[in-house]
Amino acid sequence: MAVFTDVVCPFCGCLCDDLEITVKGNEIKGAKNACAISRSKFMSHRENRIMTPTVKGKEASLEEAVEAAAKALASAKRPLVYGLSSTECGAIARCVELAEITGGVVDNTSSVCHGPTILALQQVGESKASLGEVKNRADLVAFWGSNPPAAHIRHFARYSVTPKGLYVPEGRKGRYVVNVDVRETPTSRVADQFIKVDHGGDFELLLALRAAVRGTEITEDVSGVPAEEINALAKRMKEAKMGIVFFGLGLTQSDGRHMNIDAAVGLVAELNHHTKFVLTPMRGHYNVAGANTVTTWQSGYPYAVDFARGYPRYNPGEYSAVDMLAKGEPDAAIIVASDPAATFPADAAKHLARIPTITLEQKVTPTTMLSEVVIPVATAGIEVEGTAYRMDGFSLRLSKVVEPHGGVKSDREVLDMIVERVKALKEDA
Amino acid sequence: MGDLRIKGGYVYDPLNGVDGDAMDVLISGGKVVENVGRDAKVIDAKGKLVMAGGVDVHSHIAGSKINIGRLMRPEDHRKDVVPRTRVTRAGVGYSCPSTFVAGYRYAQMGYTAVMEAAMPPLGARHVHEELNDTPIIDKTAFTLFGNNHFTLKYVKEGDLEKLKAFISWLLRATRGYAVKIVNPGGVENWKWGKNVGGLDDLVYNYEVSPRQIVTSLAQANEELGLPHTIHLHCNNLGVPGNYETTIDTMEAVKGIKPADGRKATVHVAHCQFNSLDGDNWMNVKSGASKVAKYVNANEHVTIDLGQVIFTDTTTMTGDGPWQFRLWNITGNKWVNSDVEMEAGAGVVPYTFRKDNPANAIQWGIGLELALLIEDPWRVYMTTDHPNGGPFTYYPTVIAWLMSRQARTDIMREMNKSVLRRTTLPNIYREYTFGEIATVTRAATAKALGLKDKGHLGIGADGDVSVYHLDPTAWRPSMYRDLEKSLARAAYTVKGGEIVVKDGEVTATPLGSTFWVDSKVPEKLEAEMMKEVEADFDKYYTVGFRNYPVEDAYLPTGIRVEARGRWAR
Amino acid sequence: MEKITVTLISGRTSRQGVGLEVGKTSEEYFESVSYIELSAGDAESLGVGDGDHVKVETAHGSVVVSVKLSDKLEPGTSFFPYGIWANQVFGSETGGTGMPQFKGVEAEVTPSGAGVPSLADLVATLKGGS
Repeated sequence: MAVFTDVVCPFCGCLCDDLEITVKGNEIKGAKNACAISRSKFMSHRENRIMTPTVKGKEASLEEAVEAAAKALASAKRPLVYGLSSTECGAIARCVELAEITGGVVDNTSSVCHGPTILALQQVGESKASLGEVKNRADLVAFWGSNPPAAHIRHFARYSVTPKGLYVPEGRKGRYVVNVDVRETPTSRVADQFIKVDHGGDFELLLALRAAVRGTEITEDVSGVPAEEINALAKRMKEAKMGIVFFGLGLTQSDGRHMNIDAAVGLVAELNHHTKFVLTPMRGHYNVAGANTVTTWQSGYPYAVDFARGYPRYNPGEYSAVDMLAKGEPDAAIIVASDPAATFPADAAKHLARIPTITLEQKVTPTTMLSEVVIPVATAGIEVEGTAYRMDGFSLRLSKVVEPHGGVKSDREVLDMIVERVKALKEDA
Repeated sequence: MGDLRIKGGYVYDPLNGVDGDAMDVLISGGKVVENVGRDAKVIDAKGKLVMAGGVDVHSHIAGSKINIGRLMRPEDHRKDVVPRTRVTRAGVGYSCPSTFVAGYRYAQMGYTAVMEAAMPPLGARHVHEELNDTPIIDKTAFTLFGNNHFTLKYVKEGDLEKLKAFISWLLRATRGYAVKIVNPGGVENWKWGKNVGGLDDLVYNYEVSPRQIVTSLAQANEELGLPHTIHLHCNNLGVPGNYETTIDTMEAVKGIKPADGRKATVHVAHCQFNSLDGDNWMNVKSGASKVAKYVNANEHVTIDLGQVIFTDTTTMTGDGPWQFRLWNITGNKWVNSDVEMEAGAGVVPYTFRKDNPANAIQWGIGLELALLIEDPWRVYMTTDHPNGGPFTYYPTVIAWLMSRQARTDIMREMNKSVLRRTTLPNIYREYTFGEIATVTRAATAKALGLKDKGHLGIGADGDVSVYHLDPTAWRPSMYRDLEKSLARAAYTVKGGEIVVKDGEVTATPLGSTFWVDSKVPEKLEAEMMKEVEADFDKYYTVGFRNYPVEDAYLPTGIRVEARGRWAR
Repeated sequence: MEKITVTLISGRTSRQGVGLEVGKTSEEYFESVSYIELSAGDAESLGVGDGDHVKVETAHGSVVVSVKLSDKLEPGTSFFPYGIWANQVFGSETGGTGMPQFKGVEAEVTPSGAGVPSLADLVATLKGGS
């Protein structure tokens, strides 16, 4: 029996790094400190695994599958490389290279989660902080359009609500917690104050709050929120010693999208004239921040990057995966560590069934079910080491606690093989 | 890799007293040697300028700050796109180049070593990941110490021994090379939305002053015998009148006994931004002559310029409150990033304009510092890339240093403030090629303690740059030719391998990353570690054992041992 | 009433997270994402209860799922866990941002006697294309 301590969890953007994984033989027997989802990931990682590569539904050797993948990508005019967010940074880097050598497009799941957050950052910036700043200093914590108990289960306990910090020694009692959402959630029940905003009304409410912070008294209800509540919250925010807004897909996926974030950034920036205030997106996949980070240092751009001209170009809305698929543009696709067939609107997802789609995945998913080439891979963070970036942008080393199930290779190794073959095929051509 | 003979060039190697002699440089096994085999490959350098590879003492090329710059500025990339070639990766350039492009472009100018000047410890893994994607050049990264909880704690307790132990551990844990200090105390106060206004203000909760932080770190640094002095971004950066703070800071570390083999105890980074006189941006004027006068009289100080370039660039520093101030001045987009227990940063795009009186003065200050400080071994050429401007403008800066006509020509296009509120128009000094080799290579390598770099003596690294320029025929009026030649090296040789030919990249080996391994007595280290671990468990959000950078992140790491006074 | 109009919001749940880590072909996953939450009031007006089937239809498509009553939702709002069932009714228009609208979409909900499609059924639909 071996116990691995300080293991980083490869599920959500919290990247909790205090797991204790017990392993006997090559099997995981226990996952201490893990949340329900994390425990499911560790304990069930061998269930429903794909055991052999397939090409057009028939079992194939790894080499045959790689050859089929390389041929499809090398001969494509507009290949799409998509996913990236649930694997380690080495694999992400190879995805960028694959797009570069095929003259294709590389996009990651941020285009359908916090892509609008990045668009807003490119417009107006962002005042942010590492999660420990929140733990140590924040006496006002707002969750706006986000609900950590659903997808970031230990966030409250480790970072934002209950932990005792350097200047918040009393923990939960030392913080005022606000929740703004269109519906009541478990977060509302934890919060000291729940503010219900009308559907699509976040932008106006954020602007009203900003105006109140600037000293304009709000005299009318905004987006279903009473004027006095807005004025009072603005006052409370200004009087906080240090405040934070954690925002989620409630802002990025609703009407207004990046303009909602633009307004939130503006509010927080405004508050910095009075006190210290920051905001942080609740990043979903454990390494979606890494997908943005690596793609940015290699190409200059965080997602939706097109190499058709030999140099990187960036245009979300055009080179983003949903738009490309909806328009039927790609003539081949490689999906790494993602399941767009399930997570994209059906109208976009169905194009993946019309073209040669290559998928690197651990388990059967709707995407593998419609792929021409499927290559099973090892699970990063359980069976493979690597780097992942937390929601606040800081990176940690993922652990390998067991050997890959069935001896499969990692995303990085398979991508290396594909990259080499594509290069060779391009040389020949 | 075969031997190499760089034949007959005009060699400038000031560390070895070579000043333009026509001679051969021989390389074997990646090092400069006395003899090479008959079958050595020959580079014909006849009539060309030959120097050691450039060594940049202060630049921002890797890690969260520059990557925020890249992320937030698609408009910056779109004006400078770099297609893939058979040898090189695609990318983007200008003020926030992608990692690959940064490596290529430094090499194309003949630079072979670059220091990343600000690494937050929690972001160290990120810095090293990017450095590993920065080809050709050798690298180091400077670890941020000036607002670290444990620094402040040990300074407050007056425990210099534990401070030394902490510095040693953190450099090792982050694979850092030098002690970097940014706005000491001010960044911690910024976490409450405040700053410090001078050397004797206090840091909240810790009740220590910037003066105490700087002098303690300098004292510890010298006692540990670290290869480089403390590398300091002073308080009050960008504030008119700040030259006084700068001189006060230099004076504060004057009495400290330097480590063996050097006279310096402090390096003041991008000094241009800290040499402003006047009370506000309306009456701002140059304080460079006062700073230069102090530096001339005090050999414990080295500086680099942080020269301003008139272009659209991206400012990025570990100085959160300064970036907030700059955001308020410009109204441009602003990113702030605070790092728990240790550091912070900010990024704001900025355009330096010739017709802006303050910018014109800032431009003048950088050059005044370079030209008024008499000893080229103590003033180094940088733009604080990308803060003053992109490093790709180094050839232009060198032209300004070597040609008064180059300066006069551009001053004609500038706001007249540069004529009235700097002393630059009255300065006639022009750098020689030997002095250029000093301020871009020899002196920087020496100040950094990179003993095999910056020169071409036997045993030096085989890092050489050869330029299409005949220094015997060159005159200051030919400054545009100089710029062109320096921008595209005829050859850049890295570790004996030709990596650039006629300005084009021909090979992309991964350079080395140097880090400092400093030792303190084991018992002292254990005591310090116990305290650090206790606070760590309470206040950090990453585990103590997950904090140090793993060896996997230094595939080409080179350990540099530091020997403190107590080692003997 | 035979039909109500609701504003749909999709999102993650911890059950959906647990289910997807077991595997998307698992029963746990099916159970965790093939339903919508309705307020008691809305369910009552439709005459449906927990576990009954409803057809959810938007401008972009329709799907049959089961009903789960929520005591937290207000009438007029329905929550749809993130997944392939939800994606039958969301559109691919991104307004030039790359991001489809996954929250705040108007939908009609009607009682349905049809079965809830399986994952394989939905993949077959995608393959059937156009």
